[in-house]
Amino acid sequence: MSATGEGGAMSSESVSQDKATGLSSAKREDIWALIIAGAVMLISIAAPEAVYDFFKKVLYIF
Amino acid sequence: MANLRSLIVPGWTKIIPGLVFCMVFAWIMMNIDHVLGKYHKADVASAAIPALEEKLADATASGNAGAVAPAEGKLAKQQKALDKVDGTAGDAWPVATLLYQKFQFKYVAMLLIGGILIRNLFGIPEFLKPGIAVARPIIKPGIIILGVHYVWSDVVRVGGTGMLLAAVFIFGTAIVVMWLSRKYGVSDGLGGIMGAGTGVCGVSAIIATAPVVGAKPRDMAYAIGTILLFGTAMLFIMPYLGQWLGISEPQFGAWSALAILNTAQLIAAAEWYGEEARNTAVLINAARIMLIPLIVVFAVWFYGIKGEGKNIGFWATMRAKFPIFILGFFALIILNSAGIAFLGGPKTAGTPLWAMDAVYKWFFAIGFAGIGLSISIEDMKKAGGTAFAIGSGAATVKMILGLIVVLLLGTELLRVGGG
Repeated sequence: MSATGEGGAMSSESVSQDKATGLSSAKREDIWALIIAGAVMLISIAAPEAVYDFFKKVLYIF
Repeated sequence: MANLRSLIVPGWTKIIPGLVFCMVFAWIMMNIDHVLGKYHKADVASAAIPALEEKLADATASGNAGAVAPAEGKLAKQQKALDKVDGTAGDAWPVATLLYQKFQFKYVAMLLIGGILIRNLFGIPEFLKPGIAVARPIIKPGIIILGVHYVWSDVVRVGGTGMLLAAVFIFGTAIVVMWLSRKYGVSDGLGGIMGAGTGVCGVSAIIATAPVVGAKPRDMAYAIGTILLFGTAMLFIMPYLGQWLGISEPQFGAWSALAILNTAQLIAAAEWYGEEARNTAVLINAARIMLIPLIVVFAVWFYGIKGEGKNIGFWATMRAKFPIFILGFFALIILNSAGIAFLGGPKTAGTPLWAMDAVYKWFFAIGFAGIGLSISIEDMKKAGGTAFAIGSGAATVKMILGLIVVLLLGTELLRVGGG
């Protein structure tokens, strides 16, 4: 993901930087979002109870 | 290989401190939200249990077997809420109810207000800023995962209605803003991005349209300042305005999807209002952001822009500007609708989709932390001039018209049933 994107200010420098890497910041964010969601899905298929417990119970310490 | 390399943000190590900061901030606020919610539920349960016990006793005494089982079920549910805080019937936690229900002081509000206070009262050290900027789009994987909440009938009914509304409002606003900007002597660059920004998804649309209409960095600062100022104001005003007007959650979701320009701010406002509001808002937003490439194509046509070495044809623009992450959202809707046994569903315990449903809120929380910590009063001061007056005026008119339309549509057409 990049330092640009929705929800906040960004600079013209970051746009030119994206031209240099060949992938726009929005596209990079989108691809990372797909990768992360895909990873969550794979882990959820492998161990649904563990994922549920971690995000619904373990992370809440009080 | 080059494409894979370009997935890595140059200087990615610099994002780690800020990202970790947002994760910790989100984690703390989610825990406070959890505790407040638990005590609020216990407070409600404590008040409800005596009446339920009385009802159960009456049903048992009168031999009404049909009423006994539901009363027992309700009583068990309330008792469970009370047990979670080791309370007994008669105990009271009015502060939790006041904060959580009356003031809607939930994780969304805590992260946004807390973030704004930290940013503007204490300041953010430079080494944290790159990571905070990266935290904002972490909402996107959350949106994809939220796809498990929908089935195709929702997409056709709510998404279809939303697409129609979004198209009318987006192009209506863009046309009016671009026309007024030209009429009052605002440059094509600033008028173009302001039209795209106030019409569709705020900052994303500004970024997508800026190179096409030749906007200068200062134009972008003005347009982004306007969008941020309007979006931030609406984010805090609309949930309270919605409550005051007494509009339903699905109606609020649709209204906010028409009025709040930025995806992250929209989801924050809708999540704040309630789960049903968020479900409707996310679906309409999915329909809305698919229109971003079309608004760029429209800007090209409106300003009569010629290629001059750049490929600005219809399909090239569609391919370059299409928000591909939304395909993941629709892929999960397809999987949820297909009824594949081993994937289960969001309400079927022990299944993959049920597990995924537990995750999305954490992505949202990190994103909201990023938004709150990014809202700088200094950035907002960059908004100004004729373009600001036109942009915010058009966005306000869109908000009012959007409210009238969702009130006329009613709740049921906008309600997401889920799967």
